[in-house]
Amino acid sequence: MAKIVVITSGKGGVGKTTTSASFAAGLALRGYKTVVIDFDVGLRNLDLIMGCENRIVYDFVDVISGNARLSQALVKDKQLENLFILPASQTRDKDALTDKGVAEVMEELSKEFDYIICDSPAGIERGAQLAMYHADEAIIVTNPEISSVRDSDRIIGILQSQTKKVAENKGSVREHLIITRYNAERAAANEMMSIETISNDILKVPLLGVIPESHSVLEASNHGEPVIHYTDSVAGQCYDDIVARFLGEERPLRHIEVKKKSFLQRWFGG
Amino acid sequence: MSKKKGFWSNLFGADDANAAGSANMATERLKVIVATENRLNNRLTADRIEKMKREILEVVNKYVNGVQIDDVNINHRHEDTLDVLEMNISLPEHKK
Repeated sequence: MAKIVVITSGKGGVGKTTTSASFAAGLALRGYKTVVIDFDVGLRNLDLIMGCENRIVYDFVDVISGNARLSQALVKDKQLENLFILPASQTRDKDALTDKGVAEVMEELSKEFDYIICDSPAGIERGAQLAMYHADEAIIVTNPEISSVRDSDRIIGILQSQTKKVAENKGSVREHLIITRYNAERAAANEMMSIETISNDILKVPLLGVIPESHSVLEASNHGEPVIHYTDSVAGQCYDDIVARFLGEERPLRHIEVKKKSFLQRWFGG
Repeated sequence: MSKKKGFWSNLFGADDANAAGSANMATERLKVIVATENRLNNRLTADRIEKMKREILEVVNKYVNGVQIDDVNINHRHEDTLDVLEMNISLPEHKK
């Protein structure tokens, strides 16, 4: 039986797809058979981040409507042997994903995979609710910015009340928090909410990791490679830490300390 | 808005008038929103509703005599997008 993990946020543009791609790739790198599903009907994007946009023949909706078998729709990752992508449909029909259809796909994937990663669309509508419904665990992605934190709080509320686990009285979805686009200097200057404030005071969700603002994320998406493959980049290393922590390893936070300016830099206002 | 620091404050690392930073304000605003917005169902467990009833009863009894705990009814229900907390307090009959 696979473990199902939803990557969700409420607000758009905070790094869900970036996180989904790297998190799934990180699990696959460690030998787990992993599938990552794009739930964003009408706005397919995960394939671009994974770099497999030109290899899509069938999609999630094709499988649900019976136009294709699941095995036909799964796209194999270009680098990793045991990573697969189930792309979203480009149809604009939001009801194309039926509850029953999604449940059947999840069940079928569960037999074959160790991990199913669900990349949720933004918002709190049907798409986001479907993405989280079957989850065992949830990763909430947040930027240190008020509207993003507020939306995450909304999503946490929905996670705690509208999932299969809750409906079937099987406990609750385990929550983890990832803070992306963090800027240590601005946090130190009190211009940005701190990690502790967001995690402990406001959302009250245990922290899984922090991704500092990093050029590598854009670089990686330009190339169509999950940033976790950029092993010498800050973001890549932080995603690797996140996967390790998720699997139970103890890893200290890194890359979030303020770099001291050198005397010369201060002198000349660097 | 963070202003470019002058040569002097750059050199001696003195913070300017913006020392307070805006992060605290963001935190305070969020705390208010989060406290009032959702997760009502989590925060309002049965025993917390019971506790709230007792506190409300205490306040009511400052102004009206003879209201019992059973006269305070609190109901938490969901409408489409709204979480509603309803409260009914039956006052004792007027003695003629």
